[in-house]
Amino acid sequence: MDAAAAAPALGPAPMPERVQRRLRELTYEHTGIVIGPDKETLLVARVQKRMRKLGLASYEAYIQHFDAHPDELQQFINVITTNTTAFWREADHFDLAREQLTAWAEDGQRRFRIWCAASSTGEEPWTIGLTLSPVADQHGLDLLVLATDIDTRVLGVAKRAVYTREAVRAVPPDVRARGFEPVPEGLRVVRAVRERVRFGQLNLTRPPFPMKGPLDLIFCRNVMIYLDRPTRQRLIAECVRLLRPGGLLILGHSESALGMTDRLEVVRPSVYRVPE
Amino acid sequence: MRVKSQLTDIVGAVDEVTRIVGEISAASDEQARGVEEVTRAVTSMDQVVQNAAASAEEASGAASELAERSREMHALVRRFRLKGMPDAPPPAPELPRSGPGLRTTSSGAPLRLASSGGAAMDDLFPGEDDAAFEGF
Repeated sequence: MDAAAAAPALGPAPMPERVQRRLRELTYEHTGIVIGPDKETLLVARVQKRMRKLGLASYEAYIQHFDAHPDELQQFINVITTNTTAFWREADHFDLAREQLTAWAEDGQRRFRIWCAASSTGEEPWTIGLTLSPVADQHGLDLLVLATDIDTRVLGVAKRAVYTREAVRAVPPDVRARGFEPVPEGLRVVRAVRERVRFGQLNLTRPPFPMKGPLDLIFCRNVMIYLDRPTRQRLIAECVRLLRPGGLLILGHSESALGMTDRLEVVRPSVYRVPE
Repeated sequence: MRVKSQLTDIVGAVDEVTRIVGEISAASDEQARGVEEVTRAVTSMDQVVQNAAASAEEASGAASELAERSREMHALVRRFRLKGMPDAPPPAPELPRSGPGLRTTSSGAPLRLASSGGAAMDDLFPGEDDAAFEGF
């Protein structure tokens, strides 16, 4: 390794076209994420992060390291993915889920399986758990949430369920009071909610997924924005397969299933239902 | 004679109907083209919105990264003292987001230094949680 020999420079060196192409292809092949030619800065910044950790001075050295170490692939995936998320993000979806769950529970359904497809650092599955737990407790429901992501680093963070007080500030005060307990590093989601959420690694671009279904709710929010149309279409088809009739598919506010399938009906923008 | 004139009328009427049907057909074609164009426009607007959303998330990720770096730098700089400096400067403010922030202890020192090239200790390794999918 020609480590640490790099002289300090003002900003990263430009990435050779050949390396860019290789990394774009690798990203698409393993994550389905499309990094356009207009996103060189993003590619450079994220790969540099890995190079700094590994003490590598050149892009060529990184490519060599990548080819020689099969386990670098997961590390590459972990830096190349975007993990933006927040508690109570696009909050109307959680109100809708709570209302729908209440209606289903009042109709006598007792078993509920919910999937959060791109859970990132956990704010979304914990928001789902924190929102739906009171309904589940009140009606004695068998309710579990599966949270998945392709990035193993964020899954580790999500599973620990520990957040800074600043991050938890987005949580409504009453939920914050009943849903979190203080720990030395900040606040942790309480055990009763933690027990309802499972975490696993999943590549959304490689259906069929290991779940059998039927699922009642799928949150697949703000992940299709990174994928191309054929990949989105396959993902939506797999969601349709896993949902029970009447089950809901919830996408991000800027996403839509427009023209992707004829097997979903629109409940409202970004929310779809499998017809009964 | 009356029959002949009636037949002529009918032929004329049929011609008229044919002409009208032709017009309707042309108008329908035009409408279909219009609908197609609208669909294409909506699809491309949809794509633009989704690309913009992705860019916004990426920018937000970069901002978090910067916040994390500046916090680390702050922690490093705090170690230095200048003559005549009364006290240590105040600790860096808590990060506005989760993730990076929870990797520091209450004293602000990083729990895990970014030195190893391998997987982080708290990573969820691939395959570790296969049992997670059971029951789903």
